[in-house]
Amino acid sequence: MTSSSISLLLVAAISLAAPLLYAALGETISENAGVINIQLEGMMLVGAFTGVYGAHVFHSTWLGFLCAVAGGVALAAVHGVACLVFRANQIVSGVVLNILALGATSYGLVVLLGSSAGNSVPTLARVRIPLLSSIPVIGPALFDQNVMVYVAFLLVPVVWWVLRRTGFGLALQAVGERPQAASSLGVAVARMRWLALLICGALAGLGGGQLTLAGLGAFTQNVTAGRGFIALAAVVFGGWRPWGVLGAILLFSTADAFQIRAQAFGAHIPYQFLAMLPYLVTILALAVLVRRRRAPSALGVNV
Amino acid sequence: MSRVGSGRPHGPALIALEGVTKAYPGVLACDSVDLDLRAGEVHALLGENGAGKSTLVGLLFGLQQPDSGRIRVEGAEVRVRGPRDAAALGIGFVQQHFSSIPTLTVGENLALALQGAGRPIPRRTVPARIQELSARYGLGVEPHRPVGQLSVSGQQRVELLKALAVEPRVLILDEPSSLLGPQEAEELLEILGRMAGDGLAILLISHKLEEVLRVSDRVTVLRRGRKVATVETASTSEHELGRLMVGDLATVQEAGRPAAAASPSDAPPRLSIEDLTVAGDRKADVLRGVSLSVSAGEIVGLAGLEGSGQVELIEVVAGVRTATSGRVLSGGVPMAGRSIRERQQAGIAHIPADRRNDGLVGGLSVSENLSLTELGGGKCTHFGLLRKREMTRRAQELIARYDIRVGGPAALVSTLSGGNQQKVVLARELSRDPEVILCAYPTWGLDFAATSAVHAELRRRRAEGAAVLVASVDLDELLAICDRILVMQGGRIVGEVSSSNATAEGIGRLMGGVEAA
Repeated sequence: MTSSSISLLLVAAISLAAPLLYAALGETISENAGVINIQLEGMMLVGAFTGVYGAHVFHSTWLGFLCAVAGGVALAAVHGVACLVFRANQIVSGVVLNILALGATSYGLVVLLGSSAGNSVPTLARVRIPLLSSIPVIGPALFDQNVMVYVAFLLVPVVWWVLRRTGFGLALQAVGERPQAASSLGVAVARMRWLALLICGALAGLGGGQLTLAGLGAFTQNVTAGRGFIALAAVVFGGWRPWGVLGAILLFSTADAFQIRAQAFGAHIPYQFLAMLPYLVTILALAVLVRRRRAPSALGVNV
Repeated sequence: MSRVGSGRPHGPALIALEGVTKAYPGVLACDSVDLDLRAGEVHALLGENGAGKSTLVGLLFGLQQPDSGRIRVEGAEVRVRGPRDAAALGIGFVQQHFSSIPTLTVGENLALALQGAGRPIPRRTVPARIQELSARYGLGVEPHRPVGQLSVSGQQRVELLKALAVEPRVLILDEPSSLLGPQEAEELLEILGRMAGDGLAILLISHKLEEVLRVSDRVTVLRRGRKVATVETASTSEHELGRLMVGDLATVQEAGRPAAAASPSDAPPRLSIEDLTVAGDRKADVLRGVSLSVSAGEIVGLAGLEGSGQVELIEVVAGVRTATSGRVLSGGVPMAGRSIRERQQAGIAHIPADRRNDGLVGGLSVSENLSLTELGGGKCTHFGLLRKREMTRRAQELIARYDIRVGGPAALVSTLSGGNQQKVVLARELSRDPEVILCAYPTWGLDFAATSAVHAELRRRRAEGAAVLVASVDLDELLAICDRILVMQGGRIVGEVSSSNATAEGIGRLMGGVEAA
């Protein structure tokens, strides 16, 4: 590969990583508080849909992003009512919400947006950072992307800082690790879990919006295609820590970018096999390489 | 016996409970209880399991609301709606179950506690705060280690630290010494003395008479939800307190050690352990070349601080844990390679240290739990199907024989009190008339009556010729029931005493390693 094709590969890898990163960072926050969101995929999908619909209605990409957040939060709230209020099993609730999200967005696509082709919206423009973007090979990938890609990557240290350096983060981890103990210390366990869950919904919705509003410029049926599940896995592989999550996602998105380019160059391999590649690489590399960390003790446990 | 109490409790009541009553469905947990606490005193709250101690302090700390009665702080009536209210009133609580998050450091846990109490401090200043408190009360706590890596006594000091950091006027401690060895418990009592000397009012919940006599200024005794009496410690005695606690049951206390069970010294030992070593996971070896033997009709005690290897030794003999080298012989037959089931069939019974997790299945009924070891043998099954009627009959028999207080064989084991749970384990394990009985912490967390029942049963088994090996951190227990006591420290046996000439202090020194050199 030439350095320019490596450069293009990295550009693709970074922009593919952004939607995953939003969802996975949200899930990191939520799981640290003990709430698991199998419906991460569904929240991304709903966000992807409401984002495009909002951009259509308001003729504004930014208001579209706001609608994407609202969509993700709405689905998270349903999960919250089921699990935090009525103490339903978090896994079951999540699975059902995924199916609901797929059905609802497919229906909404036909009813509200019309055909897949007819709902295109303008995508975000790239913001080129002077000088830095001229660095060979990595410059374009890191410093010539749309704003929401920068925000996604800046969120990594922000989430790390919130979890490790603020009282809110401490209380969050206490709630995910020993809810009874946290409660006896005066931490409002239910409120913390709601907050973490809604933040996760907002970020997952944003990740879905990033997919459609910043990347594809249109909504298609099941546009997320399992990215929510990859983000969910990245949280585990990343050891419930933002930097680890970033590493897991970069590994996946680089493999994904690679297979897309391999398809474009028409390698003599059926494209279905190429499409499997990022998933295989991710699961193998992480299963073999990653030092295992323990999940929060009260993850998925209703209190 | 030197007291560490601060001396004179003085002044008017800092906190007073007046006629406090709390009922749960079917139980009157607190029945019109009065209690007052003065600044600078250690006030002990004494009572058996279920006497209402935990409920009472729960009301004081705002974990529950009283049905009737008043709480006054410095004369003014207050409502304590939750831990935050309690903290604002200057009431701190060190619970029996640690309230630290094991994955967070000491500093982070302290920051969290202060935040929860509504008194957050900047994170930078946390280490300095810890150093200051640690020095003032001699806690010896380091700010940067994860709490989960500390010893039990270290974790408890973190709890003390968290309570002290909000500068309480009243500190409630729930059974603080129950997990500590004698040396550590002693240090804890001294810390409590220092805190009272500093002007704090301390409410110490305990069922250890000796500890209460040693550290407190006044004692309030509860029985079945009622206050029996409040007495000045200086003018009472162990005997009087025991009588107040259990009432008429006081006669349960048996006459010390029975006539030295005829020691058949020529007979080969029923159980012998030769040069047993168990490699540790990462650190030092858990057991290092331990040899001992137990004869039929003998109770041998294993004394030592938690983590000295006693429990591991018991587990190796029971077959739960595998030794790296060395041999275990039961009746002269090597046990190497035998499964737990085969060892049971060879007459070995095991009463595990953690009865809730290792001894019982909480979600199953009493009769099902009692049948668990009989599933293969045919007593409780017939061609693999459960013989429900036989299980119930057997359960009724064992419930009566071991005096298990339960509604019936179908009651879930998780609904039983700790003492009755232990009786279920004991009933199941001893129902096969084992010749070798292994027990780890057999009376941990049990009240006086249940403890006496367990001890009586072990003595009876000895009289019937069983070889009994008991691990415990409670020296009084070992002195009361054992013929010989082996002291363990750091995975070795560092001394042996015959219980007729042993003293708790002497063994305590061995346990701490003072005479090990």
